[in-house]
Amino acid sequence: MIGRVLFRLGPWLFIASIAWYLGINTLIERLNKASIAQAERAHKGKQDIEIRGVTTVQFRAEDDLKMQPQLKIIFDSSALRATISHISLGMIVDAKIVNGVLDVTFPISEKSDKALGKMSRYENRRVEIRLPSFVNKVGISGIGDVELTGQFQSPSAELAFEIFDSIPEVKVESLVINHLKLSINSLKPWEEADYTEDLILGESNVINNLGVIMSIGKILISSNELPQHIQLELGDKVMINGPSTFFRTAQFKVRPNLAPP
Amino acid sequence: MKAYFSGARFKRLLIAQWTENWRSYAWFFGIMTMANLIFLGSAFSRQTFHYQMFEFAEQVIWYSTGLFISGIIFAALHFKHLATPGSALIALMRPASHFEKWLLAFLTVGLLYPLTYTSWYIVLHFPAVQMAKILYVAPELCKTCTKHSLPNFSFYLPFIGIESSNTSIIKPVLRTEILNLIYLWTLQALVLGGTVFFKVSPVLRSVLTYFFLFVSIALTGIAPHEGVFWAGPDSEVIPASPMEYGLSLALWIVLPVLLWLTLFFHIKEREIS
Repeated sequence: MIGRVLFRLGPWLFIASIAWYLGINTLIERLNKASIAQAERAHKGKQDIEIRGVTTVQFRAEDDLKMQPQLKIIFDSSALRATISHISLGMIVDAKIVNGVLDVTFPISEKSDKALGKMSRYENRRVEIRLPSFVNKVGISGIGDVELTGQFQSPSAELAFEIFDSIPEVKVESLVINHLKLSINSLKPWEEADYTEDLILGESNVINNLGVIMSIGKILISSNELPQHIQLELGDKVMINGPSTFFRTAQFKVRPNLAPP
Repeated sequence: MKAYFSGARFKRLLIAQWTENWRSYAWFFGIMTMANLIFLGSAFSRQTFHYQMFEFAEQVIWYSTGLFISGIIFAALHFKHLATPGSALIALMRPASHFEKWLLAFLTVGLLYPLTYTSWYIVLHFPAVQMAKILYVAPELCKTCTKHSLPNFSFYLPFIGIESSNTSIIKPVLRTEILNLIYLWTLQALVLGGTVFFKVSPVLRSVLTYFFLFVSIALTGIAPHEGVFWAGPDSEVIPASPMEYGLSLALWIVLPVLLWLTLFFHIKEREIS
């Protein structure tokens, strides 16, 4: 058998094919690593924007953007500028002040459209935004997930947080604020509305007043530290999952149902 | 030259191949048709109509998976006569050169089979996709919904074109098709090579050999790089260097050529032995 293999061209050609496959793949791998390292060095992953006097911020992503960003918004009372950081090489973040509003957009480009790559460095959709605590209004549309966290030092601080379309998840975690007004206008197709948690009130929040306006979706309260005053204006198709204390504290108001039964 | 290739002799070889095997080819496609009809029937089931199975992306997966699985099985059956000593002797003594036998294998397995499979797929699936398009009922949306992404029922016409005006789909699909064809030829050459090289239990031994080879390569951590054939959306994030283009072309063009050449020498050396 060994002799049969050794003195024939067929088996040797087969071995050469395997060696060719392994050798060329190794070379391409090395080239890929080098080009990724070069792209990473050229990547602008952090932007500082001077927003003195700007109290409204809006985040918008194009409807057809394949790589919908996941936002983590951190309110920092010591910050004076807005800082946006992301590590994805394929994502573009465009931030500018228009008519006194900080407008943060995630435009579609050749680059971002083709950025859903094989490597985790491309797939990471997370964008961290650090905002000064004088920002009191945030609007969002076309974003993947949103996490809201941070501290407002002022005892009378208010934040109006408005979502204009379907977002898989809005999570409020470790947020210290006097008054939080959340308004979620879900535009989910009716068949999908049952499957996701739309608003999660997580751990370690210190909120005095909480107001929620919501038409469709689910609310999950996973913490026992509840706001002192809770006002809920909800549609018929909203489900709440939380401790009984939440229901005892909350004041309900019926929101006209915008969706078909 | 005539000892190497003769048109008349090759024609006789083709006729002999067809005469001996047309029944088994008919059975092969008959079984595939039955299996497909069962899948299609389950997709159109009255209780749960799985319209997703007829969306464009699913059609590509359906077509490619079917071509791969059946193409490899078809390749494994091409040299089935070599598996038993009696029929092997007759097959090896057939009046044709090594090159003609090799060419017959390439034409039958590598070219005619994908073409026949493609025609068969179109005949079976085009009406199914049209039916799915008619049966699809959009889900009820909430009143405030501004849009709803409708399923894409464009029919996938493999290797011919795409029934779609969306050019952004066409480019990656064409790349995928080219790469899939290269993969198919590579795997078919491996299977054919194994069935010619191993005299006893050729299919089983080939499967075992390639399994251990696959595991060994996986252990080295070297993954296949599609290079210029990569149809993923990130292909132009980092422009490929000329070196990368050259290497990936060299890899995916030379590899199947080398393996088909290996098959040629396996046929030749099997005859000599």
